[in-house]
Amino acid sequence: MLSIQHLVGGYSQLSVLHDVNFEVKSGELVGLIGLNGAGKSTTINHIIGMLTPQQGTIEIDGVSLKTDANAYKQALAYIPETPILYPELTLREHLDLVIKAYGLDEQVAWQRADELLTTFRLNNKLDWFPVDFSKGMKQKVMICAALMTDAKVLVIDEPFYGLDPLAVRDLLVLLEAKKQAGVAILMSTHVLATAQQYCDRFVLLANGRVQASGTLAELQAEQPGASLDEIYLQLAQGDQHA
Amino acid sequence: MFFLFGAAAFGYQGILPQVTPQQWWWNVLVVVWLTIAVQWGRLALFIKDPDPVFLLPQTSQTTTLMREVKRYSYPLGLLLAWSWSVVALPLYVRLHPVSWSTIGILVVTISLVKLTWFKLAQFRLVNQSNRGWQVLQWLWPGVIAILIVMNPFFAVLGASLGWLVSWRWQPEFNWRAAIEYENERLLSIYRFFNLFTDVPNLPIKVKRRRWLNWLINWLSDGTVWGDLYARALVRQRDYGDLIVRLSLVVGIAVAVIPIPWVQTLLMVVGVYVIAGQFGPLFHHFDHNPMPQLYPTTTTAATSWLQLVRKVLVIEWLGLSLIAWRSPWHWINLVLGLIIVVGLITWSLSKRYLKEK
Repeated sequence: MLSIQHLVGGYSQLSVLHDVNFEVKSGELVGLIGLNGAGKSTTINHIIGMLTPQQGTIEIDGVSLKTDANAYKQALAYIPETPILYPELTLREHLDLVIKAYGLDEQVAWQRADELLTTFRLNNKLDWFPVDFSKGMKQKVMICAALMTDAKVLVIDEPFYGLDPLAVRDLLVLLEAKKQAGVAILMSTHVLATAQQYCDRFVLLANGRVQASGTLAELQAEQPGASLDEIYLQLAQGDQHA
Repeated sequence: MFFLFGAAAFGYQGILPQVTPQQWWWNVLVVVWLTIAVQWGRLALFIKDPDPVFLLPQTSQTTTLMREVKRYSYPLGLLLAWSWSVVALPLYVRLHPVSWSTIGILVVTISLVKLTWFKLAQFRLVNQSNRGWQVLQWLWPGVIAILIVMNPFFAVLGASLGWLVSWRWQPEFNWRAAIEYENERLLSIYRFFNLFTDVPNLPIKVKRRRWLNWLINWLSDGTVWGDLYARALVRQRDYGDLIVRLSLVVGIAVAVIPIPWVQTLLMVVGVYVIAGQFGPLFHHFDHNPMPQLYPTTTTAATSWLQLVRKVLVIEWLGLSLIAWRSPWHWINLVLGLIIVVGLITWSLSKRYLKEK
């Protein structure tokens, strides 16, 4: 389980997040939603350790970066919004690197990888350099690298940009499978229709604070029957007028 | 670069007294040198990618532009062509009877060839993808250079004819070809300096180099960071290629200098300079957050330092082998390994180990 308690943080001395609290339980897909600049990526950067909290704690099954950095990182896999690949490594070498980094069993990991590569139609490009890939293909490489690990928490930042509809569907099927396997998934997205269909719970951020959180039914308490889109717009407009 | 020029000049000066007119094969070197000499100094257009968009209404002014381009580029180009050609003159004098009038003829010949060369360059501005003009820019000076070693009078006649034929050509201006030409010119200047030092913001060039996989495996310490650094060093042209070029430069310098203490000094300075090139490699992954996320137990600095140590040891051994006939070769080999390589890696570790 990913647990964020009283998180205050930001860039240098500037606090962007103010007392952010939420959890992502095992086997749950939580949608992190908010306007541009709400603090979604900042929150994610704190979770993955790129930023250090000014206050508060971030733990995976009771372990934080401070208490046991290795165990924390072992339990976490990340898919960034913009694919970040090594120009001097082939696709095969990228995956070998992940296997080595996470200490995975090579045979088991490559079996998993082969399935993922076949799903995303990358299996015949193992000896290519990612610099030769299209943006969508690069994103698929990031997805394969993250999903082939044994991470207990998956953090995904805007995964759908650049993916063709087939790949989006394949990704969602894989995320569902990961959920069934007990992985806790935090996904930030602007694609609310997809989030509504697949996420179990939602965390709505605005101005670095959690404006609302809960299941769709809980969020609909004040607007019965409203879609996530309508709830979000209502909250966002309220935020703009504030 | 200065090492290379100094060593080359020293070697050239040493070879000249041994050259006789009967050794006709030196003429090949003269032909090649003169052909290359004329290539120095190109048309500098100073136009940029957005210009066709913002300056399209001013396309009629391109005649004025080209006039200014010629005013700037021609004198510089001629100066460079003469300067580089003069380097071949001592060798030419050893091979052929030369008087002051011969030298005058050679100056005129080189000038006419260079002016024709510039005219050919303007045709590349019409259609950059037509490599025929680029081939001619090499072929024409090559032909005249051959005539120079056969008979300077034939050379000046040939160069004059070429200039008279090309003088009346007036190629049209093509924005796209011109920008492509200018970008290529600037890139080649940056890449020239990148031969000897790290020039930031050059486009990344990566080569697979499957045949060097054994080297990658040897350089890596088997960790994630070790694998990353080894691959970056061998496959990124900005790192490995630069170190190879510097090694060649230092190696050539050590080989041609006969004075033992100078050889040792060159070796020390050379290895120190090469060690400095690993700094940019250390920071190569700074903007990539992914390695920071991996649950690795070794640090980037430890793996990087291991790699640097391995390369510097090989460098020093290689240079010691080149200087094997020096009476100082045992000093070079043993003390150099311990003191030079040890000292350099110690100072690098003091600087970089605390960073990451």
